[in-house]
Parts: sequence; structure tokens; C-alpha cells
Amino acid sequence: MALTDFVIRLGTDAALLRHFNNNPDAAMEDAGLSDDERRILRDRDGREIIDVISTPRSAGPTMAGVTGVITAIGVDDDR
Amino acid sequence: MGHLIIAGSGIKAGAHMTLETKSWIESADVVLYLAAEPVTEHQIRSLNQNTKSLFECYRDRENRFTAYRRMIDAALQAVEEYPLVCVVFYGHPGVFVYPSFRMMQEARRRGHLARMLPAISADSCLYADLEIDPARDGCQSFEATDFLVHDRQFDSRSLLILWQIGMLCDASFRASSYANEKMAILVDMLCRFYPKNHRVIVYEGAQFALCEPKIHYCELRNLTVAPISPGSTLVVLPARRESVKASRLKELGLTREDIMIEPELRSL
Repeated sequence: MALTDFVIRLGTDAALLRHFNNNPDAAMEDAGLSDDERRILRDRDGREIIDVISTPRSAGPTMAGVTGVITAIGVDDDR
Repeated sequence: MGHLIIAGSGIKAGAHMTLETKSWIESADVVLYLAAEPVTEHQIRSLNQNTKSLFECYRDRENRFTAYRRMIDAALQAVEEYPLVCVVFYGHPGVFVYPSFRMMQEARRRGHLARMLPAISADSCLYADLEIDPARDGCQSFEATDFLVHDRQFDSRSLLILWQIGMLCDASFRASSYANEKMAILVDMLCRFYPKNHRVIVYEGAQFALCEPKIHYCELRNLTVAPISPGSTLVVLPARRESVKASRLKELGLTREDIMIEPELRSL
């Protein structure tokens, strides 16, 4: 859970994000992240972050957000 | 009488959830949510102890409408049971989110209060990341499949945004990936209005603060081989800019000094 909290904090704490961008290893060491967690964040690969943090209740490999749907007032046969 | 709040978590996990949305999540008696990634899910669950994921409404390869009906029914059932229900969607809850409006309509029909909160959507991120002001040339925005189905009319002198190109002509939910076999049809349609070498952008906003947005420039004719994911949006830059007519300015009571004359941008 430290990894998830750290990713959230990067989005809400500009000073921490700057620290991470300037010296990622120091920022992650300060946060107490494990070696594996540090490797994942060092790659800055969103897909890998999702795969590592995912639980069965969260999104799978595809985007789970809902979408717009196609609507029409009817369907006419081609003439 | 129950109270239904429809909210959005934004695009960038942790960073985009507004203070207003956080407050409603904390106050709610139950929170239903559909998160696009697990960090936002964790954030929502840390704000409220009584939460339920709507992801279970999806079945692989099933028509998405069926899943949306389950989501609507889940929200309506919750608002019958609890005084305050908050439903959280990814992005903006009113932008390309079909079930959110139906939840509110049907809840009101049953005598409940319903309200939607604004949130950060993909186009908010797109304007910032691509440094495009939609006011400069005007902006047209269509769902990509809808664009083809209805043969939508548009002005190629304005910015064109086509959403959901990563699930073009596919109404089902896919747990793995979408085939995008119809991309060539979209390219052919756009080539009626733009040169084949017109530059387009495949865009996807960053989901995490430490990541960069995915921005892929290519020529229109090469879109069929571009890296496209379910979260991709297509941005088609204006084909050309034209001078304004002096007679039109006069008719509108405007002078040359009232409009800003700027050179063509070559950086894009």
C-alpha cells in the first residue's frame, strides 16, 4: 500500500513530485519503498504500475471507464 | 427521499479529484465507483468505508449497454436504501458517460434528488498537453463511431477531436483489447476533407503524475498502423486558416484592430 499512497501523493504534493523528478531514488528512499517498487516507478510505465497495484476488483488490462454510446432516431433501410 | 450525487475522479490518479468531490465521497452513506486504474480505487476506498465497484457490471465481450443498465440499476437500488449515494466515474461524469445521465433521470422520476458535479475530462488534459486552445479555430468533438455512423458534418478549418478511436465500431466490452479493424474506413472518410499527409495526433492523457501523456504524431494515411489504445483520442488539426472578409467585419461593426492577426504556427 506504500506504493499506492506514494503515487497518490505525487499527484497532490508538488514539492514531492519535484523531488521525485530531480532525484527519484532519494524521494523513493525517503518514502520507504522497496527495491521492486522503486524499479517500477523508475520506469514511469503507467501500464506496469496498474498491473502491480491491481486487485481483482479494479480494472483489467483494458480501460474500464464507461463510454459514450451511439444513438440515433431510427435506422432507415438503404434504397 | 434519497440524494444521488454523480461525480468524476478526473484522469490523473490522485491529482484530479476536486475538493468538492472528495467531500461528497466522504459524506456519502455508500459510494459506487468505476475506476480506470487501482490507484483511484484505493483513494476512493480510503475516503469512505462503504464502497462498491461497478466494474463487476461488465462481462467480457458483452454489449456495453447491458453493463450500463446494471450500473443504472445498482445506483437506483442504492438510492432507495441509503440517504446519500455518491457514484464516481473515471474522468468527467458527464462527458462520454452514458449511464450517469440515465441514473439521474430515473432517480428523479422516483422522487429522489440528483445532481452532477463537474470534473476534469480527457479534453481538459488534451488542451494543456498539446497546447491547443479550442477557441483559436473552433473545436468540434465527436465520438468516433458516431462520427462514421451519422456521417457527421464538420468544418475542416476547425480543430476536430474524435473520441474512443480505440474501440471503433465495437459496442462490446473487451477485457483484453479491441481489434480496430474499421480504422481504414475512418481514414478514408477523413481523406475526403484533408490531404493524406495531414498531421494528426493520437493522444492519451497521463494516468499518473509521474508519467507523461502519450502523444503520437503521424500522417493521416498512417493512422491504421499508429499505436492506439482503448483510451486514445484522435486530434485532427485544422486543415487551413483563411483571411476574414473586410465586408464581413464591416457588417459586424468590427475593425481590423478588433481581431488579432497572427502568423501560422509551424511547431505542430
